[in-house]
Amino acid sequence: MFRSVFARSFKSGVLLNVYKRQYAFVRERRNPESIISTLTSTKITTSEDWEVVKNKIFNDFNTIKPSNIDAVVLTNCINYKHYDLAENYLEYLKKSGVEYNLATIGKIFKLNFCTQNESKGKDSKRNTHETLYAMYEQVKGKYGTLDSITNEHVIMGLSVTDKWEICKDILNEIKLTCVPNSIAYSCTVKAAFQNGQFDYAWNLLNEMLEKNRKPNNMCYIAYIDKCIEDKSISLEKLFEFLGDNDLICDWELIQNLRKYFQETKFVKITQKGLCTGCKKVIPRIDLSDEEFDVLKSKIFERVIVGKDVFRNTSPSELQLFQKMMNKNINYDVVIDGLNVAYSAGTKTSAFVNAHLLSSVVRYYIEQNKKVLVLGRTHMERWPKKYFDFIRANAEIFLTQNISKDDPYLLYCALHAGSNAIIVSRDLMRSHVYLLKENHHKRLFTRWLTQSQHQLVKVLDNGDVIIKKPLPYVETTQKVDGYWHLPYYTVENQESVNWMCLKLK
Amino acid sequence: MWRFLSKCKKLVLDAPNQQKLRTFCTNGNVDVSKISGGDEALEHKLKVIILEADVMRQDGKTVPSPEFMTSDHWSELLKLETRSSRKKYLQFLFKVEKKKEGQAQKKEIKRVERESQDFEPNVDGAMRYDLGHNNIFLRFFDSTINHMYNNKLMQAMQFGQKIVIDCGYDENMTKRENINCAKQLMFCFAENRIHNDPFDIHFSNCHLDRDLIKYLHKHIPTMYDADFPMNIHEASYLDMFPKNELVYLTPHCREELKEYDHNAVYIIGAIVDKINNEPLSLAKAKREGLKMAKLPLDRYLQWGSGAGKSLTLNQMISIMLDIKTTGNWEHSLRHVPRRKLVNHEMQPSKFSNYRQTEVSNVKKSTSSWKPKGDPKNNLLNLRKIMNE
Repeated sequence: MFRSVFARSFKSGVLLNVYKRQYAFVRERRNPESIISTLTSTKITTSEDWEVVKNKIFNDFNTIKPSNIDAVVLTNCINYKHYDLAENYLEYLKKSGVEYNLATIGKIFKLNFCTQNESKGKDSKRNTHETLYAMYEQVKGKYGTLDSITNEHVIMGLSVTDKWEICKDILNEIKLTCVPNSIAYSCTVKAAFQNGQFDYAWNLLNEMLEKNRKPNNMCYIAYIDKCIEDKSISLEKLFEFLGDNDLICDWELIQNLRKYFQETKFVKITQKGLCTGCKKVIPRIDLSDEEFDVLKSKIFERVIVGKDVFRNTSPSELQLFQKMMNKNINYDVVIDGLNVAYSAGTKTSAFVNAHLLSSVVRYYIEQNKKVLVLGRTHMERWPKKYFDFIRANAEIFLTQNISKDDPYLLYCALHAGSNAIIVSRDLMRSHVYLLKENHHKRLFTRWLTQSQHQLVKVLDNGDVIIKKPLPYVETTQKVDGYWHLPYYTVENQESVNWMCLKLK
Repeated sequence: MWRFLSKCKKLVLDAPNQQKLRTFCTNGNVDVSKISGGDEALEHKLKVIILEADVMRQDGKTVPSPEFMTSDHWSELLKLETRSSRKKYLQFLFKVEKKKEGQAQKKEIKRVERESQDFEPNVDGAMRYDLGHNNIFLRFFDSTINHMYNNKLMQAMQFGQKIVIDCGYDENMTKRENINCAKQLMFCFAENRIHNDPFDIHFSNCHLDRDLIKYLHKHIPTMYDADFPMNIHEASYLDMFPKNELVYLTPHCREELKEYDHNAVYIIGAIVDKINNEPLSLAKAKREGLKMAKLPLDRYLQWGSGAGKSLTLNQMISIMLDIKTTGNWEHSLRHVPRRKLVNHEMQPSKFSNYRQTEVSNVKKSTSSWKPKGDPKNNLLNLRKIMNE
């Protein structure tokens, strides 16, 4: 075909309508409250009222059609806590003889969960339990295996009934296609606690954390309520769980804890780790030798070598490094040379860089510590005076300019043991991510927060200001029988407040 | 002629053009057994995923209608592991569906408009004389131009410098990155073909059964033809060229490419590294012990803050073509997008006749033309002339 040019002309009016329809779903997504405001604007009692409202919604919203109106109406009512309106709509559907579609059925279960939560379970109707279970049986028979979304709603609904044990099987069914979400897990755990199946509940909680699902407060609150009911069950298990997994409470959980204990104190922990409530000092949490070995091997496998040793370094460099490690000298301080050198900015001269690093080295030498500095070979081109000083007083390991020095730094610091200091401003988050398992990540951050010195400033006269780490870890821990719980308030999500209490 | 052309062609594998049968599913009629390939567990999972999509549709979420979904879409959904990724893919398909609907509507409008226009009926049986119809001008047919470009490429294969594009990174890229990379490879080939002095491009380390080359095949359907001037190799460049000639171009190394070597075989890695920013090309070059170089971007250009120093493949090929022809880095680096640099003004190049688009040689005067003297006088003068 020959190349030709067609003149284009558009009828702007009609086209504008096309464009309007194209981006309608974007518009509707940006104003989520518009549907619920339409629903609540007029008082709805009869079927005719519902018809009117439905037609209005069909006119206003392009993405809502007769096939999805039911579930959308129910979702909006539930999300904005208009449970009566939702019940009203369900009655209207029953009257008009419309068969519920699968999404609507899911919402019915969710609605049951929400209304039970509101009434705090005092209003448990036996009828609803039976009807819900019958509905579930019918749907399961029709479709065989249900999808994950419906299943999650079913778990929510059935967990507040006496048929909660089915939730265990439903969880396994969800796992066929995806990892269940936090609510599904939390509802099952809550039901398990309420019905006394503690082992199952704790196992499920651990599973949740492995799969990066944060447990909802309802789990803990269910356990606390059970402890109030039955004095033989101790709250220790909950605190141990929170402490092992570095979970920090929020204000809602703290309120629930206070209704269990009468003597809880809101305390402050000083810079030295002294609790103002029980007057005890919170100690460091040191990693054991085995934990150090595990971390070292994981750093070596995942961070230094990774999928391809050539990406971060090279085999020859690795050999040199291992030779140095085999000398087995115990260093007290391991310095990230480049991080310290560039702490005044990346565009500074070699003079400034060298001066910063040598000042920090001198600071630690004056404290009679053994120092190891890691860097890159371009540091050899620094002003001779400074580099010779560093070379004379500390051990240096330089990697090639195209290799990464951070992984080697971490390995050296771990090798040096629990009292070693690592000097760097870098929080090493990308390296933490590479240690895939949560357990290892926790050990690593625990070690790093206690061992990391950060360079703040080097003054003109050569004095060095270093930010030392806290002498304790901000996690739930027991000191001489007193439990210390960190928590976040509603206003302040950055720094932790502390609560101190003693279990009888 | 054909024998000569086929000798020039360095095709390693002769893959036939496959016409895929698309099975559209209507109202839930999905060919489950074909998509899952007979595996019962997968079949079960697929049925659950179909149900999940139905529930999302009933919930008012952005899910395409059942008529739009093809077997390819379902098999892609089956591969995705998390529900959120499935949701995002379905949202993408929804947007595609709506876009197609919009285009169909626009087409309909234009068709109605076109048909409503009345043309003058033929007077005395005379022809319609028009740019789009009969006229005195010779037409440049697409095929003629393509033959000219292909001829250039054939000459480059015989006499021109070789350059390698390393396509072996498809496992390090996500599906979207693979699709983007395939499009860039297509542009690469096109840029090279159009240039006055093209390279002899060799695509090496190609995995013909994987996404990257499959999508390239969609862009260039005649890729595997015997007479099409494209070199696709499954083997590595190490088997094709002597090691001392190879230079791997990677942005992660230290040495800059100061002078262009006409005897070297440069290697460009076909990676779109939006997500994974590990130095993969550097690692590969180190492992194979090849010489490495990077473009002297910092030396000739002032890079703006917040702009990534990664260049697309077609930009790379354009730069290499220009540096080969002119030897001038400033001219070659005009292909780097100006938005990445600190000042956005285009610097005029002294080699402007090498540009493909015609640059007018007429000097643009900076001052606008103004009539001399008082405008009222000019009007009087005009009247004088008219009254003569």
